[in-house]
Amino acid sequence: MRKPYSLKILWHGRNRFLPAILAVSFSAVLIAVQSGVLLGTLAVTSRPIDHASAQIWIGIRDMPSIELGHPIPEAWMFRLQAQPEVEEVEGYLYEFAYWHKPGGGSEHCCIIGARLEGSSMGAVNDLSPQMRTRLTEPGAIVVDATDLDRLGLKHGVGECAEIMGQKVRVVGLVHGFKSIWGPYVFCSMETARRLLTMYGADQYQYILAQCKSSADVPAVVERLQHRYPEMSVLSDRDFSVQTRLYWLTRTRIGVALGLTSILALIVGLVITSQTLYAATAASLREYAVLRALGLPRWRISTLVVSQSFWIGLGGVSASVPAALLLGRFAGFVGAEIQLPIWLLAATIAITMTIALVSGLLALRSLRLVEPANLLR
Amino acid sequence: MIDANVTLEGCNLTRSFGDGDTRSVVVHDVSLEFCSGEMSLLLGPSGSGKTTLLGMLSGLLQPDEGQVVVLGQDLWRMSERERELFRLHHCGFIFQGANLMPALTARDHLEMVLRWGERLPWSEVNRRVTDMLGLLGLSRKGHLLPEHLSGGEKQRVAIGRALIKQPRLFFADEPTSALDWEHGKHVVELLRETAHGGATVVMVTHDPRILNYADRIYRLEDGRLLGADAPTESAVLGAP
Ligand SMILES: Nc1ncnc2c1ncn2[C@@H]1O[C@H](COP(=O)(O)OP(=O)(O)OP(=O)(O)O)[C@@H](O)[C@H]1O
Ligand SMILES: [Mg+2]
Repeated sequence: MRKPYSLKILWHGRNRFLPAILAVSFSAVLIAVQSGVLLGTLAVTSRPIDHASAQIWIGIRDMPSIELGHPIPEAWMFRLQAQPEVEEVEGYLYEFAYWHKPGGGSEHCCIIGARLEGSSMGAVNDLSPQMRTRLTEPGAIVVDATDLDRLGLKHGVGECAEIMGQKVRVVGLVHGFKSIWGPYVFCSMETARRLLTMYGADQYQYILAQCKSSADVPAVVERLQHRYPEMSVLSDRDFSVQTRLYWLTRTRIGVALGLTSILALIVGLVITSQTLYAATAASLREYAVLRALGLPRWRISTLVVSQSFWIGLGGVSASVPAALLLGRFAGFVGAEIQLPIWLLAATIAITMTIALVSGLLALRSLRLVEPANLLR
Repeated sequence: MIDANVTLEGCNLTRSFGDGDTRSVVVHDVSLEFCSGEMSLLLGPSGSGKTTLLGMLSGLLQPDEGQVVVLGQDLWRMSERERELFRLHHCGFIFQGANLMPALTARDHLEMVLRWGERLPWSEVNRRVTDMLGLLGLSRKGHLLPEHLSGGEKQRVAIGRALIKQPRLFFADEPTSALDWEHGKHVVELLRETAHGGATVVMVTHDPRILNYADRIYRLEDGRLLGADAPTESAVLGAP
């Protein structure tokens, strides 16, 4: 394979082009890691859905996300049970409450009450069989290990506190549920009902269902939604996405992320285009000879834009491992960064586009290419 | 002089620079002609307008007045695009410096012209580039970057780049001024061979040693043509 001229030019001038490559790489890393942090943060909001086995979630009409449900009648269970594809149905409680720390002071918390028996659809799979057994004791709860501080606890297991004036006792710790608004408190349906006295005995916040075959889910969801417009009927996947999107748009963390990303891109754009502009301006006589010989202008333009392509490629190739490494590192210090393939691909696409745009911007220096100037 | 046909003709060429008080006429009503198979020289003191005249004859610098007829076409009646294509198909250039790209090898420079100008397939490009490097005496230096070539070798690459597309017209502006005579002679001989192979070669020079190689000589002074000389006499006349 012959090396393209543009690559040879880049390699020969690598000292000159290095800052541009680093700038491109820097903006790519920044975009990937920031978006990764955002995804990681948002993922916690839908984790109770993602880590439960329920395939269909039923709630009040127009609920934008999981924490904005309302009590619904237990009687709606029959509507589900009447569907031939539906195998199992159960209730689910999800409600905010006040947590009174043992040493004084209070904190918002979010109570998740679910059935705990083996086939439970609402309990997150992070609850081990031992935890589930212990959770059947009245007042037993499980919290996230990283929330202990916020809850005013020291070691967790064995410690007591109060929720809505009722005594609760920590019987286990889970990981990866550090919520953005208030610590999750996992408990049995019975404990949840005792704590959340505003719920009537025939009320739930959600009703969950599982089908005999997961292929049936879309049809059941559609049929129920059509027949009962007063309910929200969502597949677990849709509910999860909807919840994350709600947090993305409501909290505006997306806006902050967007702005810093744009800033990083502008820095990359300016440095790259200026570098290319200067490099091209330094070669005006060389290009002018090619023009005198009648070689078409677009060839020279392509040569410049191809250089921006290689700068982009160099920057991106350095940024992907760097972003993955940072993601690992963040994992060690307890922050969650998600770097799915599609995010990396989007980052690469955006960064490459920016690199190419800077190549196009650098083309303005080619207006100075004038064969007549060679006559001096 | 073999088969001398007039291929390039300048009629009443005039060119000035500047406006108003600063306006100066650099080439004044010059008419001259060049034939295929000949190497012609434009001689004259510094500032006499040789380069300006060459620019007008070669389609790089628009004359204020006058006409250039080349291969039967009026060069300055063509559109910009047509002139560019004309240069691509028929004109070779070398300038004072070699103007090579520092990142590209000698071979790259020759290849580029064929690939970009004529879109030839690689096999054909390779064959012609290898032949040309041989002709230039650079067979073993094709892989070198300009920084590793001597001044004469660089100028030969520049000539090769202009010759490889086999132009019918060849314009050279003091191609030897930066070279010692050993290398300069090689360059001049190459150009003369090109001319005697059927091309029309127009060279601007200061170097009296080149006179002996010329088939036709024009002398300029203050932008006016002094007249055309036969080569041998001029060499005698030009000698100190
Ligand atoms: N673009 C320009 N703008 C203004 N003046 C110019 C320009 N090009 C040339 N001149 C002037 O025209 C005159 C002739 O220039 P030209 O380059 O044709 O001379 P020359 O005979 O080639 O000289 P030399 O032997 O020194 O190269 C000079 O006085 C120069 O200053
Ligand atoms: Mg000159």
